[in-house]
Amino acid sequence: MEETIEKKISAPESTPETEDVLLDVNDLRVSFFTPVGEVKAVDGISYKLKTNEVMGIVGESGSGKSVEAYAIMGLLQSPGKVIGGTVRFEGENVLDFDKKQYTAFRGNKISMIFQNPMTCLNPVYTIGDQLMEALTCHNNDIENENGGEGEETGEKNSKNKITKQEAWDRAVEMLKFVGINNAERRMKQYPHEFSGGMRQRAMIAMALICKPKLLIADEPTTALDVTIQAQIIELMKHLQEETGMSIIFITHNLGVVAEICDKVSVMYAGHIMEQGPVNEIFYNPAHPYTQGLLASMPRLDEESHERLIPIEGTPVDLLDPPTGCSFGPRCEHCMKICVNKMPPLMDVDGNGHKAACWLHVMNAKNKKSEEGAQTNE
Amino acid sequence: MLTYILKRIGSALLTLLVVAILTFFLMNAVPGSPFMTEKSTPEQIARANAKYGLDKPVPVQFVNYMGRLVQGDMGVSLKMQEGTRVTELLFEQGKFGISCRLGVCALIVAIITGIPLGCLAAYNRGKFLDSLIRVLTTVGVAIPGFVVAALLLLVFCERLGWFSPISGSLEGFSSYVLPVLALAFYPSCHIAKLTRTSMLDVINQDYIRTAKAKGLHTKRIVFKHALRNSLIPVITYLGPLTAYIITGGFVIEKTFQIPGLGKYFIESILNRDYPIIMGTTILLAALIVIMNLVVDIAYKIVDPRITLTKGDA
Repeated sequence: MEETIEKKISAPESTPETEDVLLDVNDLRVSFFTPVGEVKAVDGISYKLKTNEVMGIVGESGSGKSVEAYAIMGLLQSPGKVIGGTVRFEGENVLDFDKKQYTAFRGNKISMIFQNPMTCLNPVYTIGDQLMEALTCHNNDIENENGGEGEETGEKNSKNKITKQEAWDRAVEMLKFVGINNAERRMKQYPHEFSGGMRQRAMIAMALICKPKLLIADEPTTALDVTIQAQIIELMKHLQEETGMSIIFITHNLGVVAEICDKVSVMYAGHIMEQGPVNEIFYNPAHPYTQGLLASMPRLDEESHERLIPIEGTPVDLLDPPTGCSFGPRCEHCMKICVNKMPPLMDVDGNGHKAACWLHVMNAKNKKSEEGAQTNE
Repeated sequence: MLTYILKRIGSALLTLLVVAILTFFLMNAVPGSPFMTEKSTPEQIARANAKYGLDKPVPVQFVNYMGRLVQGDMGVSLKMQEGTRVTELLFEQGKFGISCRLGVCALIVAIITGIPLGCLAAYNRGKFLDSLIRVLTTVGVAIPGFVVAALLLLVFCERLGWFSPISGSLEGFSSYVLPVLALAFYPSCHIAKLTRTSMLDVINQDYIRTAKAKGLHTKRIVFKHALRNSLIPVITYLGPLTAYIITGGFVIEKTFQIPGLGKYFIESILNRDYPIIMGTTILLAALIVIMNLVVDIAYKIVDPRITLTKGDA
């Protein structure tokens, strides 16, 4: 019985759909080696992202969601280090890339936008300069790759090389694309002459100028006020539909996830706690942590006097994580097994909804035994 | 921008006036007279005083001096080269020129060694090269200029015999090497330290991460995105640096027997040659004031966020 269920679920993975997988993260582990000990910021997470798919990664501060993204981008700063797992982008393991391959990869096939647009643009260069730079540096990469064959191709390459005018035109076009008015004039302005929302738009333009296949958005709306947040989300949704790129959307805002994502991974203390299609996660959360997150979120459709229910306790001390389920100490359903063993990510039902919770395993077992009892009768 | 520069020139003139007042009155408060020698009689001194107008009260002398100064007349030397005009002494006899050449060379050497050293240290943070540069620069800012000069003389002239110890002038490349090195050593170390610190600060900024995420090469990130931002504190230092080069130059000129302004200035004080003291002080003060203006304008060029004039947002 169990076997057939597993087969059913694992079956789709081997079907032609695998060809469509853009990013395949498997058992990624990232640790920070601090003087006081190893911090397992990302402790074995796996997911697959298809082309044209938007995945949200949700979790509270320190859950490892940003670190995981930096690991994919190769932007981890010392003492952070990838200690295991693979990240396959279009079949290639990016963790095996050398420095040169990485610079050609970043910003070109995969780009990233960050939390605080106020500090993410270089204050001493114009917006146009920074936009065009993103374009020309990858143009040169291509040129270098071609040039590697022989020196005679030098002249030919200079023809292929994007001209300043072309770069300028493309940058203006991108600024218009992300909804910045007066793009020509804006190109010559410095970041401090832009408002927060405009800067984030410029960041998005910069990230998309090389037409990447995957955009990682690391809390892109957190630093913006609510009306601007909505605009940026709307813009990203629109751009995604237009370009067909995939997006990994890192946030702690569940409302944003509901707005834009196709599927969600809920992270806690470096583990993925629950994963599945966005509707499943919102209407049928299987993990107590997800349930807690949803309960602590203000909702417009609830009665106004309804109190928000916070998740009790504080996040795990990653220097000294519990041996069992990392959410165990805060979980109201905590059982003996939770204290001793971390639950694996298991299927909740057939459509890709998975959760890492013993409770769920118990329920499944109970169900099975009930079913068994019924058939016995 | 133009109004700003005009305003600054106005305040610069005010600064120079204050410098002139202070120097003039302090100078006259020092006992002694340019004409006092072992042989001179009180009558001789009185006659000389009357000849140069030194018998009048100090405020009157000051007003007279300032009146001539605005016409470009800095007076004549009272003792060292009696009767020679101070402007001629400073400019035509090449004293100011020699000091300028020495100072500018030292400034350039300090900048072109200090900034790359700082970058190198920041880029290799925590490695051997960084430690080496840090030790070197810390020692460098701790040793006074004359000790450096003496050490250089000892090693390169006495032991190795590469240069003649006392050139007595600044003619030819080899006579520049040691004085310039001695004068540039401290500022170079200071600039290296400043660059390293600000570079490390800048490297951790979000926009450097953005540049990396864009896929830029490390070289471009360091030299385009990081360097320009980390130069801002270094530019701030250029103002005080000019002052250091001037005062440090006095010592170095004395040590290497270079007939520049510094050496002459010290002698003029010892000789109470009032017009030379005044002329030199005002000239050097003007230089520092101009340098500070240049620094402020350089700021604006490096960092577009800085507005020089109020309300010009």
